[in-house]
Amino acid sequence: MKSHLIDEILETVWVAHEDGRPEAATLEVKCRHDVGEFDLQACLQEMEVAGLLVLKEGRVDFTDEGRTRARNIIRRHRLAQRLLMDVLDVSEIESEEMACQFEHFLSEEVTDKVAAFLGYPRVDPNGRPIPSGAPGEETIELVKPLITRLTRLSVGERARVAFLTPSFHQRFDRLVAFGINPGVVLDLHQRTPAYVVRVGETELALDPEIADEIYVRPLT
Amino acid sequence: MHRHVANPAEDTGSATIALIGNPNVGKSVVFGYLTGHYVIVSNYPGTTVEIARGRLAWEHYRALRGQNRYQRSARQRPNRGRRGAHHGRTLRRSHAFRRRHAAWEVIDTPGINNFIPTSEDELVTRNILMNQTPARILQVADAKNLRRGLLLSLQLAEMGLPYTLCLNMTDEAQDRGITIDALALSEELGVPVVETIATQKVGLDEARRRVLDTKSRPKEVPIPYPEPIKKATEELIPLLPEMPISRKSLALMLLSGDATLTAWMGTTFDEAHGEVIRSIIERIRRAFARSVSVEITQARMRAAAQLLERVVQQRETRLISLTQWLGRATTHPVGGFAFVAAVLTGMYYFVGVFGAGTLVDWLEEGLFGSYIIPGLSWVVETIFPWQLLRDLLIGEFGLLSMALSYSIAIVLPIVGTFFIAFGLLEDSGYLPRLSVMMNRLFKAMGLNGKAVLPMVLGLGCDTMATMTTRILDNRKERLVVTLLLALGVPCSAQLGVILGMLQGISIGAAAIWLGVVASVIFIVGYLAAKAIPGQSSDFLLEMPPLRKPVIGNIVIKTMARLEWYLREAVPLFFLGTFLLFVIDRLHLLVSIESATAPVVQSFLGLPVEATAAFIMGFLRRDYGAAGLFLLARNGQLDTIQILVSLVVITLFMPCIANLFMIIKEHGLRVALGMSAFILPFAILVGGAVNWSLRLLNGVVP
Repeated sequence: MKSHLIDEILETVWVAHEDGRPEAATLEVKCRHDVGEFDLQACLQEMEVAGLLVLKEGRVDFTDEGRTRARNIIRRHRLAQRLLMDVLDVSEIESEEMACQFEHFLSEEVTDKVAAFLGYPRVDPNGRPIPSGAPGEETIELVKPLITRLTRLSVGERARVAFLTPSFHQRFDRLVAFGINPGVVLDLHQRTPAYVVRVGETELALDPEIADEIYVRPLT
Repeated sequence: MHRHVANPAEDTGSATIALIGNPNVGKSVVFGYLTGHYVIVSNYPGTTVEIARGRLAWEHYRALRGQNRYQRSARQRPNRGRRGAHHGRTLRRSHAFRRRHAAWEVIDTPGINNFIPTSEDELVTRNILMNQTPARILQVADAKNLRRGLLLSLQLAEMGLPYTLCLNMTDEAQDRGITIDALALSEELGVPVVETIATQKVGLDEARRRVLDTKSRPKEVPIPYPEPIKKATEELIPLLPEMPISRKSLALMLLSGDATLTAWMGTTFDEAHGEVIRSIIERIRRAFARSVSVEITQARMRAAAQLLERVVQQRETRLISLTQWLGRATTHPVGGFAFVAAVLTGMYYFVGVFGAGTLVDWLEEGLFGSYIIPGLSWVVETIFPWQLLRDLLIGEFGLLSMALSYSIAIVLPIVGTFFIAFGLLEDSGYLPRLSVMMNRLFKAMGLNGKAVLPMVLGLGCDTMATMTTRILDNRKERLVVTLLLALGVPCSAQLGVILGMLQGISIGAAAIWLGVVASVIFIVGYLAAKAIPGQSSDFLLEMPPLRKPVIGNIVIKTMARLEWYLREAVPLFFLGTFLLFVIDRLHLLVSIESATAPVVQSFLGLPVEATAAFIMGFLRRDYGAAGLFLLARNGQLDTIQILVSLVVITLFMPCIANLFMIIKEHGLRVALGMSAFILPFAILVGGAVNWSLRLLNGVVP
C-alpha cells in the first residue's frame, strides 16, 4: 500500500470520528490524488494488520500509532488550508484540493512555522478543530498574528474579514446577509456592552460569542 | 371606444403589490403613502409574523386616470371637442374605473435580508412570493446599503419575478458620499430603478407609476456559483414542476438545504421522483464542507459586489455628522447609560406624569365623571326598568361605568402617550441602542437585549406588552418575557398608585420594594430561561442611524396602534368587568376572604381587608393597589405592612385582561401554568419580606 493512500484513509477515519460515525461501511475517501484504484475495505484490513487501525463490529478505531499519524496529517491539512485561504485568498474548493497534497509532504518544522505564522489558529476554515502541535502551544499568543479574531481587535481598528467559523449555519447565513462576508472591510466601534461593527453603511451590534467566530486581517 | 382604458383581466381581480426589502429601509413609509390609512394588520397564517395589508389609496387611481386620459387625449385629439357632451358618460366611466382598480391590494412584507429563510420573517416573505405570486413587486432598498439590497434583487431576478427597485434614502447616501448611477443600475438589472426619499415623499409618485406599469421580466444577472452547484442546478431544473417562480431559483432553494421546503416536496413529488431529487441535494451537501446555503449566498454577494462596483461611486468622507456622533454616544459603555436614564426619565414625565396624571384626571374625573357616565346613567335608568340590567351597565362593576371608563378614560391616555413616546423612540432609531445597552443584563438572564423592548412597554400596559412579545425570535424568549411581564413588571396605572404609597413612607422602603421586585425578575428570568427548553437566539442586531422622527409617521403609527388596542384589548376589559360583576353578585368575595384569612393574616401579617385588594388586583391591577392605598391612608397599615402588600400586589397575578392575552398568545395551558406559579410565589416572597423585616426590626409594631 502506498503511504499516500494510508494517509488519506487515516484522514477519512479521523473526520468520521469527528462526525461521530466511525463505521467502516460508510467511510468515503474524499481526496483521491495520486492514489489510483483501491478497495477500501481491503485497505482497512491491511492497515489493521500494520497496527494503525482496530476494526471491531463495523467500527473503525485508531491504535495509538495510527492516531498520532492521523493527527499530524489532519494538522498539516487544516493549517495548509488556512494558509491558502486566509493569506493567499485561494478559493475554498481549490484550497481544499491543494491542502490534500500539502498534507503529505509538509515537514513538522514547516508545519509549526505555518501555525506560528497564522497565530496558532484553533479551527480550520470550515470550523473543524486543528490539532495542536507541541505541548504548550495552546498558550502561545503572538503579538500580532496576521489573522486574528474580531474580539482581539481594539476599538477603532479597521480590518478585512478573512473567514467566518460560526457554530451553526444559520448564524453564518445571517452574518453574510448583513454584509459580513470574507473580503469586506469592517471597523470595530465598540466592545462593550456589545460588539459594534460597521460594514459599509451598516452598523451591527453582536454578542462576543459571535464576534469570536469572525476572523479578520487587521489593516491598521 | 372607451374600452381601451385598461385591460380588466390584467389590472383587476386579486392584483397585489408586494413591498419587499431589508429591515429599516422605509418600507412602511412607502406602504403608508400607497395605502393611506386603511390598513389591516394580521398574522400570516400559522405564524406570529404580522403582515400589513391595505388597498391602494384612491388618490393614486385618480392620478392613474389622469395619466390615462392624458394618453388618450393625445391619441384621440379629434374627439376632444365632444367631451362636454359626454359629461355623464365620463362620470360613469370614472365609477367603472374606480371599481376596476379598487382591487389593487398592497402588502407590506416583513423586512428580510435573504430569501433563504433563517427566520420566520424570511420564511413568510419567501412564501408570499412563492405561493401567492403578487402581480407587482416593489423592492425598497436603502441607497447607502445597496449591497444588501442587491442580494435580494439578484434573487428576485433569479426567480423571474418582475419588480421595480426603489432606491430609498438617497439623501442619506449623498451625505455619506455615495453616488449611484440609477440609469446604469436599471440597465444592469433590466428593471425600473427609482430614486426616492420616502419620508419627504420625493420620487414616490414615480415609484408608484413604475411599479404599476412594470410587467416585463428582469434581466438575469450571472452569479458565479461554484461549478458543482451550477451542474446540480441544471440537473434539478427538468425534474421540477412549473411554479410561479423560476425552476432555477427553486432548484437553488432546494440545494441550499432549505428545510422549510421538505413538506412541499413531500406533497409535490412521488416517492421515486423525490428520491432522485434528494440524492442530488445530498451529493452537493457532501461536496462542500461548509453549508451549501453559505456557498450560494456568498456567490450572490460576490455578484452584488461586482455589480456595485460598476454603478456606485464612493467618496471617502471622514466627516462625522451630529447624528452619527449621537448614535455612538448612545451606546457608549458609560455615556450610553446616561442616555438610558434620560430616556426613561423623559418617558416617566410624558407617560407617567402627563398621560397617567394630567390626561387621566381630565378624562376620568372631568369628561367621564362629570358628563359621560352621569349621562349614560340617566339614559340607562330611563330606558331599563330592571335593576339587574342597570347594575350590569352602570353599577359598581358596570360595563359602562367601569369597563368603558376604565379602558377609555384611564388606560387609553396612558397607552396613547406611551405609544407616542414609543413611536418617537422607534422612529429615531434609539430602540436597538437601548437593546445594546441592556444586552449584558438580559444575557446574564439567558435572554437577549431585544427582550428589553416588551419589558419597557410593560411599564405602560402589560396586556399590550404581552402582545408585543411577538417581536422576539423564538418561543422560549416569548414565554420567559411573558412570564416576567405577568409576574413583576407593574403597569403604569399600578405604578402610579404604588409610587403614591411609597412616597408616604420613606426612600429606604422604596429602595427595598425596587430591590425585591428587580431581583425577583432577574432570578425568575434566569431560572425560567434555564427551565424552558430551546436555544436563546443570537444577539445580532442592526443599528439604523439615528434620525429625526417625522411627526406624520408617528401620528399614523400611533393611530394604528390605538386602533389595535381598541379592537384587541378593550373587549378583554369588558369581559373582565363582567366576571367581576358575577363574582360580586354571587357574594364570592366574602367567602374567598374568610378562606384565605390564615395566609393573609398570619403569613403576610396583613389585615383581612387586604384580600379584597388582591382579588381586585387580579381584575384590575391598579384597583388592587388603590384598595391598599385606601387602607394605608386610613392608618390600617404600618410601614412593614405597606411594603409587604406592595411587594405582593406587584408580583401578584396579572390582571384578567393580561391573562386573557396570555391565553390568546400562548394557549390556556401556559396561562394556567404561569398562574399556578405566580400566585403562591407572590405570597411566598411577600411572606419572606414580612418575616425578614420583622426579624431585623425585632419588634412587632
